[in-house]
Amino acid sequence: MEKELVNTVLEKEFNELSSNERIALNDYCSSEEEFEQLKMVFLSVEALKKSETIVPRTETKSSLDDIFAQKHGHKPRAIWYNSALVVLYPKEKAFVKRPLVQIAAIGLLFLLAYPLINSTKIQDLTETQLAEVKVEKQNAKPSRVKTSNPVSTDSNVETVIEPIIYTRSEHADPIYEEVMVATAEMSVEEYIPEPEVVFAAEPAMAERPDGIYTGSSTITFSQPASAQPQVFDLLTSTF
Amino acid sequence: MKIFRAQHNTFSDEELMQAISKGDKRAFDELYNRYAAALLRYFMRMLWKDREKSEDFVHDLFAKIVNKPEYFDPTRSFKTWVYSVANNMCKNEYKKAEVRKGMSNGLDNHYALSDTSVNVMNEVQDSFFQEAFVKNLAELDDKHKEAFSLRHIEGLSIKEIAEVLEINEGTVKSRLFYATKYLAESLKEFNPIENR
Repeated sequence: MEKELVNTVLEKEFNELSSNERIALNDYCSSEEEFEQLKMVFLSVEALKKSETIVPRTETKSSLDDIFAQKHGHKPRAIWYNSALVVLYPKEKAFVKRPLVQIAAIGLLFLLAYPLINSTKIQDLTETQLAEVKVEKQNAKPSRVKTSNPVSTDSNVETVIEPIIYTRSEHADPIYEEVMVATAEMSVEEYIPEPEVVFAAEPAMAERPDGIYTGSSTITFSQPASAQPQVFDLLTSTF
Repeated sequence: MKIFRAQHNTFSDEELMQAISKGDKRAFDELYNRYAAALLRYFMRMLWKDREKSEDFVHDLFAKIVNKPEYFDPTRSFKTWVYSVANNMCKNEYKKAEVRKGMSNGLDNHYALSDTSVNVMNEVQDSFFQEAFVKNLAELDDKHKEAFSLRHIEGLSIKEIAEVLEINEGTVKSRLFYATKYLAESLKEFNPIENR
């Protein structure tokens, strides 16, 4: 029986059959009763196919594998990456204990730490570069070497290097500062020494407690009364 | 050096056989996966549901494939070839059984044996109807049973069955007709129309 006819028997009822189908099935079934019996046969076959889930035992396969190995006289060809994977990625080990995973983890750590390491290196480099630049600057400063006789033609005469000694008075140029006063007619130039002279007696305050104002750059202080006889007389006057 | 594995599951049966003859183990594995279970079921049906014997037959058949792959003619269909080998193995077993038992037909005797052993169908489906079908199929004459099994259970075409059984297609159709009618008649008692 053709497959189409089997499907027809399985899918249709007897009264649903077309005339052509009835003719085709005439040899097998001529009545509804025979048709139902035929249907049961094919339903049983379908059920049997579905119910047959048995598979050969593993021993059978392993025995056949041995026969195959004996016949061909060699073990299954190992593929290089398979053997490498066995070492690097052994499935019997825990995931974190597999070398490939560990290597990957180290690589990842290095990748993450690289910017940090690199920035430290740059910092060190900049520091050293700065130090070098300083040294270069120091070296690049003119030594201001003066020779006693720069145009001397006598090679035997050694040039005497006389270092220039700068005195504080020479070096510190006086700074003049214009101070605006209340009167428009007057303009006073004050002499401000540089660097600022600090007296020991001066408190670290701009505004002194005795009411005498000291400016930021101009320092004034009161003289003792003994040094000013008019003030002394005034203080010691009796009524 | 092969970097990627050949896709053996896309190979035809005949290509796999050629690869097996060259010692390709994975080709053998693929062929085994395709046919081992089906052949085991076939042997179970044909050999009175004797699981041990069926396992042995599957083993012997695949051992033949490994040891003598040249027996297979690549111009032929592997499926018909392997079922014809399986069928011949069953026939040989019938002959041996006849000699052992001193009977002209040991089929009924073997079926009685299978009743005492583990019945696979009983394990799967506890159905009287199904049991009756299996019983009647087993009771069927060898030549009709093999034709019916190959056609309706293994899914071979009429032409393929003719090749397997080495008979002409007309004979196959005749055997199928007889087997179908016999099974339908044997299941009469379960017919719902009959029991109305």
